[in-house]
Amino acid sequence: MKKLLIALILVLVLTFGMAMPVFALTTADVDVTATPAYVTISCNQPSYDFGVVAESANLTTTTNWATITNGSTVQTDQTISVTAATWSGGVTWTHSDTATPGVDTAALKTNRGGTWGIGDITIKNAAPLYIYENCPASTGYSFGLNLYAPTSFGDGVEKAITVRVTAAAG
Amino acid sequence: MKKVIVIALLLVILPVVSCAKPMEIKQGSSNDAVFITLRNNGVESDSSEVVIKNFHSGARAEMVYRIHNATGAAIRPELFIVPYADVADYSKADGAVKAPEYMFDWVQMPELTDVNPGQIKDFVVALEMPKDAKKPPKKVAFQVGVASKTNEKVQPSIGIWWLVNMR
Repeated sequence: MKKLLIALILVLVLTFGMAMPVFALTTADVDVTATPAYVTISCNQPSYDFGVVAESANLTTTTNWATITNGSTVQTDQTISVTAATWSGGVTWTHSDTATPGVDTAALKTNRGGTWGIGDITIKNAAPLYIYENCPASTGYSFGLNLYAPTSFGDGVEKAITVRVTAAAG
Repeated sequence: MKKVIVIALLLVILPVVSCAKPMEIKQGSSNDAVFITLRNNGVESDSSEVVIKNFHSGARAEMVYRIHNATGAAIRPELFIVPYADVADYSKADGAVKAPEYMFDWVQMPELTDVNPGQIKDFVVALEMPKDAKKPPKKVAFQVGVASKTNEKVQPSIGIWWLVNMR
């Protein structure tokens, strides 16, 4: 009987001692709800390969190379960014948020279905810009990519960076 | 005595360890969870915002990100704070201001694991205000984004607003 009691106490102590962080829930007097609204985007292009790039090259896709299908039922604000401050692969490239290429420093711009040079948007890592602010519900669009290659390279290894389009209710 | 202690430990440790992993469920969507579907190079959410009311020092608020992998391959979701998102641009901000950066430290992200094709898995995102923390403005907002961590180099994602109303 004594053993059982000890075991029971041990179970209780260990359960409450160990489980609290795992089972911690919303504090009783705090109200948390998710507001229903359908937000969805997809892109028809998974990636783009600029191929072999020369120093200081300025390479573009067409401005409608990729299509964002937007099935959201609400207005959205959509930003475009790169997910890292550097391009991976060999001697990494710094990503320039000011669209200023340099030694092992590259940049990207985008254009939403227009003409390159008119309304181009710099693709940044920190503080990304809108590619489409106040995008109406169920309204898609196209965009292109413009690479500003570094003025000189540390190596010839392929570089890569992820471009992310983020939609949020706007 | 040893046997009793071992049994007691097993009784405690096994459920705790199994609950520590993200819970796998078969179906379901409700207002107490944000239901996210990850598709091939696409993402969708049934909710645009999480509203927290009566938040205060020492309080904790949790929201489930219920993630459905609708692709044919295992996907590891990515959950992240969107630090640049400014609620001033949100038409339903309702007087909220951009959350001060120190609040980002109050956000607790779950351990992320693969979601197998066709499966739904819950990941809990929590906001916990330390008892001795500086009080933020009365209404603040920030975004918690979701994307799929894949090798794709053009990646769609969704930002879910977290609107926090202080007590």
